[in-house]
Amino acid sequence: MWSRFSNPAKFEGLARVAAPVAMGVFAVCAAYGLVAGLFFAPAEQYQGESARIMYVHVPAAWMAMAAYSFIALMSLVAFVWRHSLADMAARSAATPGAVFTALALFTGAVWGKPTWGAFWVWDARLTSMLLLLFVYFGYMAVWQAVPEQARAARFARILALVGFINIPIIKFSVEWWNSLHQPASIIRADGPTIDPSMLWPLLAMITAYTALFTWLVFLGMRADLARQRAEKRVARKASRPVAAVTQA
Amino acid sequence: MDFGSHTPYIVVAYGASIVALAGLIAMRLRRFKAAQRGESENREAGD
Repeated sequence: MWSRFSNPAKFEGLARVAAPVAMGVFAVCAAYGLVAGLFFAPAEQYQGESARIMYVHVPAAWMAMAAYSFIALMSLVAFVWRHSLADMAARSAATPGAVFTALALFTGAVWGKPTWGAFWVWDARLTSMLLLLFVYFGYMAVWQAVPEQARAARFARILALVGFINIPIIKFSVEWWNSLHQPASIIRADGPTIDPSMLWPLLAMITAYTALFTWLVFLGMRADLARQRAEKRVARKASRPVAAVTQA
Repeated sequence: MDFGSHTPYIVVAYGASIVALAGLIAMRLRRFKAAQRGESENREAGD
């Protein structure tokens, strides 16, 4: 399966079909999630109306971790199978991942003020999410700072795999340490603890953010492929006179 | 939209999310179009 889409032409074919589908899913789910979350879902019993921030905070936090897990997986694929597009996929996921992380931190801070009385506390969940943002910055900086692409890719893969240690720490931080942050309420062994009237808009927003991420990654990869093709054409053109001289 | 004393927090959280995601979409689209334009200009120059 991995090798099937290592061919850029095959990947472009997939991306041309999948990208509009992802954008459609995003538009429909975001429209439903926003309207239902803001106007039809009830206020939370203890937190009141401020709990509506959940519909933009939880999907952003979910995507922050999912995007990083995707980067780590693609880095592993690039390391083990030398897949030609895996590094490109990982790199395309970095900016959306960093934006989702920043959004999760920001919306969490805005939700924290009316709920906890403070925008920020050095809580294990919040601190590990902030660390994730710095790991994203580091990952993007490696690609920018190292001029030779093969070396940059190697450093970026290593950083991505080492940084993945932080993902289970974020996930289980609310169980391992005393935390102001509430524990998991959707992915639990005994099922979700949220009422369906709040759960459905939340699941719609999570689906919307996931679809948007998919679309952004496909678009980023297609842009990189187009740039790569243009660079190869320039390099081929530049090498032609040399070949002519050699033949003469 | 009236969510009582929590209205400003909700407006700021939703507003920031919408602005950030719209910016991200616009940035990606601009980059994609620039790459496509660069490729077609390059192809025309080569032909």
